[in-house]
Amino acid sequence: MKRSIGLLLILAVLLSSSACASGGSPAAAKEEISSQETENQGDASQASSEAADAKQTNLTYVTGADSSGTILEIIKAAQEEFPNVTIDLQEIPGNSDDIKKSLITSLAAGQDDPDIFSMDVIWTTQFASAGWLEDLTDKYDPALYLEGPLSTVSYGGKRWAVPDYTDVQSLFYRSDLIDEPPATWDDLVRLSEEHQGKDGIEWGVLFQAFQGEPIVCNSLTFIKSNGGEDIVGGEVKINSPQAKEALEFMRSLIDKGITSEEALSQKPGDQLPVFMEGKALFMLNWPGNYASLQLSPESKVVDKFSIAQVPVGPSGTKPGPTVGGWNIAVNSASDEVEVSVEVAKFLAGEEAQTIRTLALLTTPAYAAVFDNPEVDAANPILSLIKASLGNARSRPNAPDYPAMSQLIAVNFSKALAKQSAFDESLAEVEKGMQDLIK
Amino acid sequence: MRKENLLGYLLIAPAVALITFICVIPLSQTILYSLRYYNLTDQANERFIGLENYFKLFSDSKFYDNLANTMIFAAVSVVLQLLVGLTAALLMNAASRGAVLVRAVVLVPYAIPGVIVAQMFSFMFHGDFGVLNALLRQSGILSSAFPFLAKPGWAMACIIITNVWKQFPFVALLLLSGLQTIPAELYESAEVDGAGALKRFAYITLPGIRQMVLVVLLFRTMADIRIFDLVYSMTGGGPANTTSTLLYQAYIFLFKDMNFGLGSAWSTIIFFIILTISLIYLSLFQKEE
Repeated sequence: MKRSIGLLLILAVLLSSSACASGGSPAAAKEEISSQETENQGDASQASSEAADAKQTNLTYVTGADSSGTILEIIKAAQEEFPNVTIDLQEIPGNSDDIKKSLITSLAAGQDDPDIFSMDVIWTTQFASAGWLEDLTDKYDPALYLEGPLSTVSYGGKRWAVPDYTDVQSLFYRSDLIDEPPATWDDLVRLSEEHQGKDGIEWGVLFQAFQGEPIVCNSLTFIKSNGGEDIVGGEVKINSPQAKEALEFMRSLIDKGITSEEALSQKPGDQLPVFMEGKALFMLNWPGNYASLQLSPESKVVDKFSIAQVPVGPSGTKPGPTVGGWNIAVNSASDEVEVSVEVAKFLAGEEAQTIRTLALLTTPAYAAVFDNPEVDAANPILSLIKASLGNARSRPNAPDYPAMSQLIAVNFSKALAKQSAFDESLAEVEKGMQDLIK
Repeated sequence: MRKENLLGYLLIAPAVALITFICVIPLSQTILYSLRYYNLTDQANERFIGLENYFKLFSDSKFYDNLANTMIFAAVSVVLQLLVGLTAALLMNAASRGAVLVRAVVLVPYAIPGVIVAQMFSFMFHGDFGVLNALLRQSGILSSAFPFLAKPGWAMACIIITNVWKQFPFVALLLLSGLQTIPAELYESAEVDGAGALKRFAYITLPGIRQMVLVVLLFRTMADIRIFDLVYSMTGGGPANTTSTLLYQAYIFLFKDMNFGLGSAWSTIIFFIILTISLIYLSLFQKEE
């Protein structure tokens, strides 16, 4: 008797461990979940036969943590619009990488949760190639959105998300000290040298070259404002004289003492306190930071700064600022795709974007929001950003973008830290990018 | 007899199941993935490719750079942790009054999460606001801000210092427990025989804690080779990739690139590196016994 119980136990252990083994693979996890689903649907159909028309749909929406309560306000508006939908909001703390890490875990396992999620503009190509995104090409009218943000949801001729809010690298400048923002790199250097050491100005220009997205965004802005390119029509064009000139210019700012060498270890947020203290004349940064500079009580530059397009290099003809921001996407494995698409459209629609723009002073991707006088009054620099958006350039549009980004970050960091020659770094990046897009 | 055998198996079954579940299965799955082309953005082409991932990694200078960075980080960290930890342990052992309080205070760094420690130290190393630069400038050693985290070489020194600060309490506590097993009579009789403080340290203290030092070395080496959080939040592997470590690169392959094949191969290599080092330590233990 005892022996048979023991055998049973061993059998149970063996079974459970083999179940775990198969549970590890994404396909099996999918099966497990879909079997759960059918059970749930069974329950639901029973319930719906009892209460005929009150079918409640539960959706999960994953987005970055927001302490201001703005997301909750948007969700409330969405609930009023869709009374039969219950939106379960899940806020993930941390930066873009942290959010991506937790999203990948569910998406790679083919889970139907989350149904809707916020997506950094640089994930579009990767997530679309992995088959995780619902194709939204025919689901909304693209004419309602600005062109710059739309370029960040497009890949392979299709649209994979709805643009939510956008950000385009701009030049913050001290409007109390400077009448006309610099249009060229020469102006940038001249004005910096004129003002450094006066009025508490320690640094001419702040930019960010932390090895990671910061150095990629900043150097691509300099390169593309100097007539350089990354990929054109599927061909890698990064190794050009214009690109070399741009990187050399960035380093020359450090060598001339206009930019602190500290830049090599700085992310966009690290430099806000420096500008806020009134220690810098110019700062290349995301206008999404406008609110913290203008509204935080510690800021010494309230009403003393404005935003302009990034200046143009000697070999360039127009600014080429990097575009960032977030879009809203629908999980292709969601069991409620149709409802999810409608809710996603609302979450990135006019009402939601107006709420967000007013509360957080971010830049909307929905064109009509710009025409709202209330929005204009709350965020006077919005009209200036709109001009920048016309020139906005997205980062390389390839499924292996993260690997490219890493390649660019490492090699440009080596060049800017004088650990390798500019030519060598650019050649290395070009070779690596060619391997990645073939 | 057979009944007792069965009971034995039954009693270890939960442990075996647990180890199978949390070690054997994930490990073998990682090794299996490492033999495949498995990129989440290109799942249509997933296939068995043998050792190709490994060849690719071993022919890439990135691997050797990361390996060298990791080994420098781990070696310097472990030596410094041991020195600082031993000093702290000796102080704590000597403290007769307020010993509990001293121990609690020493433990504080160990109790703070790594990412927060990283933020604290990043701020301290900051050129415009950091306390380190402020002190150096006020005392006249520096005339202008020194960008510690932006200089190749210095950035590595910064993350090592941060790591030593965070981890030395663990070392100190283990060594303290070793120190407390040494009978006080030994010191007393040595003193009577005329042995000075240095001699007592060399001939009584050090042999007395030798076992514990080995334990500390084993734990700290394994942990420091797996350094991730400080690199992730303080440097991103920069500047010029001089602080990129093995585990940080694994994170990039797996979570940024979503290349599970290459990332698994990389992780498998890390596993074998740590395994080798552990085996060396364990053989040292056996010699001791």
